Amino acid sequence: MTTDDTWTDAHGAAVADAAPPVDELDDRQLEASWAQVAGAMGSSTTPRRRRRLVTAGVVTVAAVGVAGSAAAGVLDWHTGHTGQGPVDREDRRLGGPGERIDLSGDDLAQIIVDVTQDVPFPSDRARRISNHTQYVELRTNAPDESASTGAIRGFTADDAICSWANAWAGAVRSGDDDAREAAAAVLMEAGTWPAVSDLDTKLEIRRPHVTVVIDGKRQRVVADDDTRFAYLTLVQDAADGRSIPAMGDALALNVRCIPGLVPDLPQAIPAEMRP
Amino acid sequence: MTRVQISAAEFEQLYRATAGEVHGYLRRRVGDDAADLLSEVYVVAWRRRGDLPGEDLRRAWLYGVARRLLLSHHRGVARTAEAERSVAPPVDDDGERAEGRAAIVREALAALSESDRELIQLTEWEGLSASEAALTIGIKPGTARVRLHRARGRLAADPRLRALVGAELTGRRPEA
Repeated sequence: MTTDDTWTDAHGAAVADAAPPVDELDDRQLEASWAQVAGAMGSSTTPRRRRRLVTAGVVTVAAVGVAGSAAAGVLDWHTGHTGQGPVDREDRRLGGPGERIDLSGDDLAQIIVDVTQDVPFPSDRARRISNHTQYVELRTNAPDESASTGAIRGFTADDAICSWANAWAGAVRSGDDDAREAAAAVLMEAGTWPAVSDLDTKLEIRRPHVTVVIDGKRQRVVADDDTRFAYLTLVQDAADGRSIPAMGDALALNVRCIPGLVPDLPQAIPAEMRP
Repeated sequence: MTRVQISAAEFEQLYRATAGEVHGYLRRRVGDDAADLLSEVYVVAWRRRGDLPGEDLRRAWLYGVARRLLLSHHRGVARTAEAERSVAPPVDDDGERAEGRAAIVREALAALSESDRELIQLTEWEGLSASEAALTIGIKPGTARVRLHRARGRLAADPRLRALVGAELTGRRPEA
């Protein structure tokens, strides 16, 4: 028997049951919120520039394909949006189409999430890994530069192709024909993704013979002049031929797949990047 | 309290490990505004990362940040009650009975002081220990245990809750 004010497990259960039920935070909400936090973290760890000088011309950064800053006339302004696109065809060719994003912007993480929403991933987790890695790489490697939304979308398309190739490889290994065919179908259509076709409509492997001078001697060599997503044809051939080694080679030689995106296809990670 | 430095990567891990719980805490109190407040909690937490305690108390520390933001987010009791209703799912017959029980408990909770109610909710709704609840509210653990004991006693003595629990123990429905 209990006294009038004795707290029992039944009281605790009654109170616990009265907690208003709430939906769990889904991945999209989790990432959207993190994007805001990460943007604010960047602003608190990176000294804000009070005045930004205009950088003329175009600079290419091999690893991330970043074009030169075009954030003209921006004073003490911390959003990544510049409202400016490529200034000419050369700028577009080297830097990519779309708005130039100031990579020091406080809202860079959110911008990456926003501009890559239409790039299909096999899972929210894969998308999250891609978005986060793009943010870290862009912020770390080129904080004083700008990148076009086209370039950012292109890098994300690379990640998505890696992810679908991984899904395909996992299905091949497990003998899940339905999953293999579904992943292969996505890879076959990847050339039509706007994030891909905005940058490359040809998907062409080009290896012209060119003449170069080496040690004072003229020599004919084969140059690598592939279009941006030419490797996709190799990926598609590998999927068609159900060859995991060929799939791994196609990606390892042409794309730096993020290891977290290819747990079932470690061959896609270049040897020097393997853990 | 042991304070440690935390890197951005470690902070992201902390976010991913705790955001769901913190969001639940906020959502139960402000409804749809929880989404905005969630990121604000972690932005504030990052700025105050120098105050971050050891790993075992970080969750409670984040609840404390969230609680202070909630207080500054003050929209009044009516708004909170509205939020609690807005997040409740549609109910069927069994659900109506459950909602009836919940309403009785919430009425009893509403009769407590704000600090007592918060202690009860932090421990029973959010699953915090008395020590964690103490850190969240900003009082000493010993004080929290005493207050929690008293708050539970007051709640257990509430005639509405006594009727509800007594009826459930004997298999009878509480009188309306």
